[in-house]
Amino acid sequence: MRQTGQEPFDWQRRAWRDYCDGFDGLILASTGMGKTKGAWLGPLAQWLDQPVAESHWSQGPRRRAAPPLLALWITPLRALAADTCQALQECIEGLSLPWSLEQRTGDTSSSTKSRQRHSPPTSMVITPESLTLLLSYPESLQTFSHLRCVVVDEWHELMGTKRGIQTELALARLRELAPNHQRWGLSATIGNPEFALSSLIGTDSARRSTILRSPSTKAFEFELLAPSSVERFPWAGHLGLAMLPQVIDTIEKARTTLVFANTRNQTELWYQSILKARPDWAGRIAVHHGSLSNEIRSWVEQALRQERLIAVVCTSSLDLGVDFAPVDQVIQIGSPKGVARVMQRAGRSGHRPGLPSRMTFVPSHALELIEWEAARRAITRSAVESRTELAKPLDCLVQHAVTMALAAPYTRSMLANQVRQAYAYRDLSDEELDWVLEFVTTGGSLHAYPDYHRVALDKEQYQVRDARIAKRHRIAIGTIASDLSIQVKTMNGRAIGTVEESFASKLKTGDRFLLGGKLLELVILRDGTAWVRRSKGAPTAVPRWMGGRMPLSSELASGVRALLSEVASGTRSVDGLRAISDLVLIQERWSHIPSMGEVLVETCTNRDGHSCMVYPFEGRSVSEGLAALFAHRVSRNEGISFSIAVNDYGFMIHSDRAPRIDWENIRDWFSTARLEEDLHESLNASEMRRRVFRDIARVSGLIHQGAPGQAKSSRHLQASSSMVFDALQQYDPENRLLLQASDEVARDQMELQRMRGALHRMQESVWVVRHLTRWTPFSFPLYVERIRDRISSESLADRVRKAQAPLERAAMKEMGTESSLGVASDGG
Amino acid sequence: MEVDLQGNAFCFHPSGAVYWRETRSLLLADLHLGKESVFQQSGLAIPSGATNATLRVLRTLVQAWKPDRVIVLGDLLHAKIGLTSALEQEIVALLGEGICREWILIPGNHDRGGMSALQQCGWQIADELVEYQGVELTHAPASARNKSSLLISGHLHPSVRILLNTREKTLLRCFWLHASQLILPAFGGWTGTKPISPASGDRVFACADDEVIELAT
Repeated sequence: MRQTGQEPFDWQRRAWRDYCDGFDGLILASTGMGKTKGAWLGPLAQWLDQPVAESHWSQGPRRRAAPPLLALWITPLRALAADTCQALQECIEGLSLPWSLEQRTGDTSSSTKSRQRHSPPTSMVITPESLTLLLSYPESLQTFSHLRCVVVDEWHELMGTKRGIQTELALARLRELAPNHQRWGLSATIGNPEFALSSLIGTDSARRSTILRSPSTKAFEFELLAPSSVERFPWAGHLGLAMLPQVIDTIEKARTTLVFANTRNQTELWYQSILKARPDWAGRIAVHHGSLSNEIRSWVEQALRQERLIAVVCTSSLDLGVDFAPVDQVIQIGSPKGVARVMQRAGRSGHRPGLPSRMTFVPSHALELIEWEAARRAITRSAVESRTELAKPLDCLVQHAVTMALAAPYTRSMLANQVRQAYAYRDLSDEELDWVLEFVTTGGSLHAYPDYHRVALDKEQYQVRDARIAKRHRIAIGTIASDLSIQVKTMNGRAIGTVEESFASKLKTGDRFLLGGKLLELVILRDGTAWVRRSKGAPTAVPRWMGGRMPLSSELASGVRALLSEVASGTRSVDGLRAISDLVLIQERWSHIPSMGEVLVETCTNRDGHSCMVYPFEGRSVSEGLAALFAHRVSRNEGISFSIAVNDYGFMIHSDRAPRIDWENIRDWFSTARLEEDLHESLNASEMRRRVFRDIARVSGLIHQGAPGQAKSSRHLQASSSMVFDALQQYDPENRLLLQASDEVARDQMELQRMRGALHRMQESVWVVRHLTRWTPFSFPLYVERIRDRISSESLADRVRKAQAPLERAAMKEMGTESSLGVASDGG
Repeated sequence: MEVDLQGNAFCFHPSGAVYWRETRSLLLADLHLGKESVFQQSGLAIPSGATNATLRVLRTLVQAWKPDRVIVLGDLLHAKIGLTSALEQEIVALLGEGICREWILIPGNHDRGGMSALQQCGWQIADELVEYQGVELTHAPASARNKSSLLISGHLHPSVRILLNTREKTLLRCFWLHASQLILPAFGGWTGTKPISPASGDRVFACADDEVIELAT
């Protein structure tokens, strides 16, 4: 390290010492703080003390002999693998170790992969899927027998997701194959590091463990691009593009900038707008998001590394990785919705220890200024989000049971012992395990699955004997979840990216849309691919990707409520809040600003009908759940139908006529009694469960996933997850995977816990009800949400402008101000 | 629902079958019998039930109408391996009931390989395109048709998107009359569907639970 002019940090020395003393550990550090060396030099140092005899070394063709597999570095993103390898290799060479290092991901060639199975390198950078795949081979018993160390990078990203569960199960298996290995995890700062450590080391570790924190010496510099006049009636997306000139000025001030947007759609829009304003930047700015092809993304990452780009407009796709590339500054468009995300993204700039992290915030509507202020305050208090736990999902266990049956036969008790070592399955009941084993051998109930076979049970040993089933399972493990997506390719076969099937199926030949920064025109949709060509003009369709909107985290939501409370009580001393003081005044005058301990309800009756708005300020998914609950309870009472709109702050239910609600006692409609039952009924369980079931079907192997190019031969095995869902509901309704779908909807989608908490809080609050005839700054965004679905974005802008105008005039009359305050003039 | 096409009286049934009154024939398509078994044998845990349900519906229709013949317009089976001995027994039992004497199969793409076994069960295998009383019958619809006589086919598994209210959309199986082609929905209980884009002048009949409803285009 001294050779490169770096002096080790105290915490790094601690990490190496603890490793060599036999500890397992978790390192909490932000990017660029030296966590790679912190985790890697320990095992390398161990080698210096305890080398492995040459007789055990493996010899590969075209390679000199190297020690057997000793260390695994698990990384969640295959795009990170190359960079990581480079950093790890530098350390190996710096210490002149005879170690070989290779990567193994979905991108690795099959010849390399098969060589690695039989004669693995000393150290491997690997993804969770590739590790699972390796563990499915009988050779795995020998491959891992010398394993000493597993490092899991970006553990916070994997935790609480199914890939994280898959990792935990793989680690549990590794514990069987190499009982003495040590485990270290690297994570960004999170609210519950103890949980992170527990889920990493499992339930059965004999070692002592530790959590090390790199002190955040990184300073944060935040800048706010405040609009000259702020829209009084904030609605998502509109204000953002009005800030284009200031954004371009900011980009010009530095050499490289990452511009983060919250949805893929937004990135395409912004990229186009920047390009139109600065055509001289063509070829030096790029767009990057999860629905673009590997080729495009790699190109962008490479260009960033080589400092050939001025700016990249991206989504969370660039939250990780490209660590070693110099990014001078980070611009965040729209609220990042979470404290940890702000820290992580700001940390992408000034990537060397010592340089401050800079982030410039561009609000997309005025209320986001409150979120931003809340986020800034939370950072100073290090009030970071906690990762939630995913409780023993059975679909992952099903997949794991089949994977294990491919590698070697096992008995029930062997599997039970292994799996309960994983923290997520520490409470796995005997019934649940039995169900899983039944499911993989007989489908579940013998009469319902007469011709089924997958795992064979012979004299209490479970094993897969059918080679075709083995092959299919291995292909399936390798795939990471993606929604039903259609490939988008140019006529000469170049892959641009993917769009959702629901979007593609509505396209007609000649429709134009933006993807990868280019305007594409659909030529033909065939065989699951949309063939396109470059086009000119304006888009006629806007792709919407499902994983779109992150809800406001609860930490940030409570920060927002607290700030609003301050505003309500008259404490308006903060810089950022001054920018929205007009908006706040209008809300106060026309309606009310809720303080802590209050819940605001508004009704608005006009020509359009009757709308009722409730503002829990608890994030989008809770709004969604509470809206469904409320609408269901009311309509159950009187046979009225509602349309619903939600956002992070609250929800609106709209009907043609006024519902019979006793407004004095509106809180009764929000009781926690029968919450789950009512929610279940209200969700029209079907739709959400179906959506969630897609992933469950994929993971547990209920749908067939062919390898590319296999389409024709396995067409007879194609069935959508929706069809599978129907079949299960009708003919095997007790199937635990259906139950898992219900659980996931309640827990994850609706954030049941959070909703319950919100309801309790609301019950303890004073309810303030205002009956109005016009929209307020709080309700206007919900009104826009409601009409958004039904019309194209062109006329949406017009519709909103029309609705806004009279409100604007009324506000101006009250404020007695000039007409310089007005609607921002762009097309949205 | 009674529909008159080119002087022929057809009764469209919500199950997807069509009873042709003049010839006393019951027409249906795309049963995909044995589909769940095919999946199960390949390690995909789809519960059995749809095949038996399909056969039950067919039996009910035959008992109700007492047709002289049943004509399946292709894809009676999902795949050869799906024709297990259990399924063969069911089929033989159904054909053996004697209410209907002629059971005719016009081969579809999924039936390949199962022909001889089906013949042994009592099915008559017809040509891929049959002309019967001025109407043509086949499995897959023609891409372009310049004849004016009616062509009845299946294969597409047509369905139509319907907006229930501002938020809820649903997909219903349908009969699709397009130029001089009538395309039947899939009769099978567990088959996928393909949403159609009807052209002006087409007639679409949606199958809703126990009714067939003609939609306004």
